[in-house]
Amino acid sequence: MIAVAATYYFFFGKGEKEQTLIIAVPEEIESTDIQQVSWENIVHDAIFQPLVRFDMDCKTIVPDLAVRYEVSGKNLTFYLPEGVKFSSGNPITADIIKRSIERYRRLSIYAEDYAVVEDIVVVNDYTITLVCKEPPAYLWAVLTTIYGAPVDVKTAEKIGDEAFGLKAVGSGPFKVVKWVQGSHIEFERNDNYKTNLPFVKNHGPPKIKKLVVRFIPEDLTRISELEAGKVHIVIGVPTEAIKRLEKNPDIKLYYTLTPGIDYIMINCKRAPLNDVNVRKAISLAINRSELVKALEDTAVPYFSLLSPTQICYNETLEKYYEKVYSYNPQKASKILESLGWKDTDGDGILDKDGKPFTVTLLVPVDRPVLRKVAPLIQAQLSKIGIKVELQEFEYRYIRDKTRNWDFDLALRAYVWSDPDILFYIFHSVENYTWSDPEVDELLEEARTIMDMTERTEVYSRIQTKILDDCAVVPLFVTKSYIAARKEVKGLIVHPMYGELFLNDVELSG
Amino acid sequence: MYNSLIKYIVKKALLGIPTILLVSLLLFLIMHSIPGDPIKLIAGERVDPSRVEELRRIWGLDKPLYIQYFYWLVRLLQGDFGVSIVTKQKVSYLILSRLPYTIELTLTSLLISYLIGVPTGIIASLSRGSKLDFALMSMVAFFMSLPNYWLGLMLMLLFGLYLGLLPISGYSGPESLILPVITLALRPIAMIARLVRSEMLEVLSEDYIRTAWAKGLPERLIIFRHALRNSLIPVVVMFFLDLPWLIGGSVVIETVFAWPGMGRLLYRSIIVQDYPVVQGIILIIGVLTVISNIIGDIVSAILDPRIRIGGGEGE
Repeated sequence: MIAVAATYYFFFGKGEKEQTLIIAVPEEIESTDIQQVSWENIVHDAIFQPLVRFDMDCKTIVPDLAVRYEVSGKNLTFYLPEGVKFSSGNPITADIIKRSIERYRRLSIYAEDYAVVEDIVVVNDYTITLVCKEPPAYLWAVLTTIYGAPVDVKTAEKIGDEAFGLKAVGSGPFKVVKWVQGSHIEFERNDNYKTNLPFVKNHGPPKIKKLVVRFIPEDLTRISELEAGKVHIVIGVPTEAIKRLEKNPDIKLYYTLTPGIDYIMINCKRAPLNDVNVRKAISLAINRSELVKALEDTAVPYFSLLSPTQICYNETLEKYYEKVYSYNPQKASKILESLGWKDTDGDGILDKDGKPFTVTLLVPVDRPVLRKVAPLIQAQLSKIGIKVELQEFEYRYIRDKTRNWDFDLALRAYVWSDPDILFYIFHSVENYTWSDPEVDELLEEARTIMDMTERTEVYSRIQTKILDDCAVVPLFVTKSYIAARKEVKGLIVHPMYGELFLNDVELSG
Repeated sequence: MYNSLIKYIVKKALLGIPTILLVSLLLFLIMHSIPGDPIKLIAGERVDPSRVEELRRIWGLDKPLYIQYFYWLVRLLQGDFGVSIVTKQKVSYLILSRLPYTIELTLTSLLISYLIGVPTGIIASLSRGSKLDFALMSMVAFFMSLPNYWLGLMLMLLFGLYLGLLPISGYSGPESLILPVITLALRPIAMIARLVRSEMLEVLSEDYIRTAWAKGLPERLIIFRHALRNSLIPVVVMFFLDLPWLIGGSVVIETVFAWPGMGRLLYRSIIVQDYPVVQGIILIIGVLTVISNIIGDIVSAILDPRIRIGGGEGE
């Protein structure tokens, strides 16, 4: 009790408030060490810094910690600036980067990320080369995120991985002061921080001295703290709060499009869904605008497989499939009729050979967005005479069921900036209900194309194959919202993952 | 007489052991019958299947269930609650760092509820049938029917956001206690007030009270020494029965108010299926329940000697 009573936090104090930026997030992190987590958030962005990042256009790779990089065949070479240090003061050299990657391969559950890397060559103190088995196009998705950031391996070895998990050290803009479990993390500015990012003005240590990240699970509580001015920035704004916050003159909303889509998986092996025309009818019967409206415009209708914030996004392709699969229930009905589906008994459900057209739709209870649109999809399909039964499960259980082909229709979503995510769904080794030898080949090839234009071309061919066959039905791309108070000046929100860059942030008023 | 009390205590304590074992077994079985796979949860879309199997081995989830239970029990006896699947930290550390906050919240709530509930019950019983009694009891019924979660949010919006008088959430000193304590205490206040009222009414109609009145004893003495003392026994016992119940109730309150306690840890661990942590916390709550029940029994035995003489064989 005394320990509890003694724990007074400064973030409600008066004097320091002006210099302390307070950010609220819904979920408490698993660990501060990026190599020991399965998901990341602002905490890791504050502590760590990758060698390179994607520019605001989601296409160009620009230096962050590194000064520059080179691609030659299967090799990636990074040049480090001289004299850079972790927040602990330990120098960052090529050898340390190598040891950091080796630690990632030993500790992280994403160790396979580096499977393509055969050898890490320390050319000199400030030059490091990743020698790969093949040109590693998909490796950028790791290297440009916080997962690709070097950790201070010397400190980690000294204090051990468990202690490092509580107070990790990197070269990012802030360093951990204290993690109060169940409550918040306090940071202070990392005075050793330097960046080469082109899209920030301040390339040195951040202007704000202190940062507090609070973990507030309840949506309404988190938003109330923001409205009361006790929190400056909220990450993970619930869609129900958007309308209210838009009206609040003290608050500014930012949104980014998710790098990934929400879609319906179809069991292409099970009758009657094994007929491509039936699948097309389903896609035509879905009114995506109505779904998005039900989500209060916190998503945009979508028709192709790579969203605008994913690498290799193709706008022409999206426009084309928008025309092909735009809402047309009459056309959908005609297709089904031509296949022999008719409502002979007048119960509103199509039937053929005495069997009614009834399918189940698996709905993830733990994905609010998908759960919300499920009854609408049910209603839309019933309009063309398909009876849909909704079955609610947890998302990962649905994932298992779809892997075992034990489903008709299932609501799914994916998030990953690199189009290689399509490999994990559609390549025949993943055993989805649809596959194609040509797509297999293209997916393998696309992994190794370093030229962005060429790679986009190949992924467009892959998407064309999948979408023409209606192996899945894309629905929409969701928006992620970040709300900040007006006194937060200079905030940069990256379009790809909605990462916050606090480099130029100042608190006024 | 002293001897019989010790015997009673030992017997109660020994009976607690099989109860705790049963709790642990049930808990283990329930946790493992939940569909879904914690390893697949940790591992996202882009994790290699071979890595999944390796993780399963590392966490011992590939062994048969009864072996997993046995190992868990043996480790528990050594004070080892295991390691969180999600944060890789020791479960005992996670629980111990959170428990003080939860105890602070629940004990304060319980004390407040007695400080308010007991006088309310006494006043209501003494003015039985009057408008005051009716008003107090209606209020009590109203409080009892309010859902915790909703009440917490409403209090938070009113006092935290609109009036700006109290902190909305988090732990930043004693003032942070006010809203969660009120939310958590309202129900026990109502229950205690009702219990005190009905016990008082019962005792007040006893023969010995009538005798006391007949003897011409002062009213204060009759009510506080004779009536209250006897009617408080079940009320005191209820304190111990309520304690674990409140810790359970704090799960919702701690989540609403971002309180850094054990309840919130439990909530989150259930969501992410962090088996070791959930098991650890539920077990702690189970053990606390058994222990407070035993203490409750013992306290009532001390307060009322008839229990240990009469109840010796009858249970």
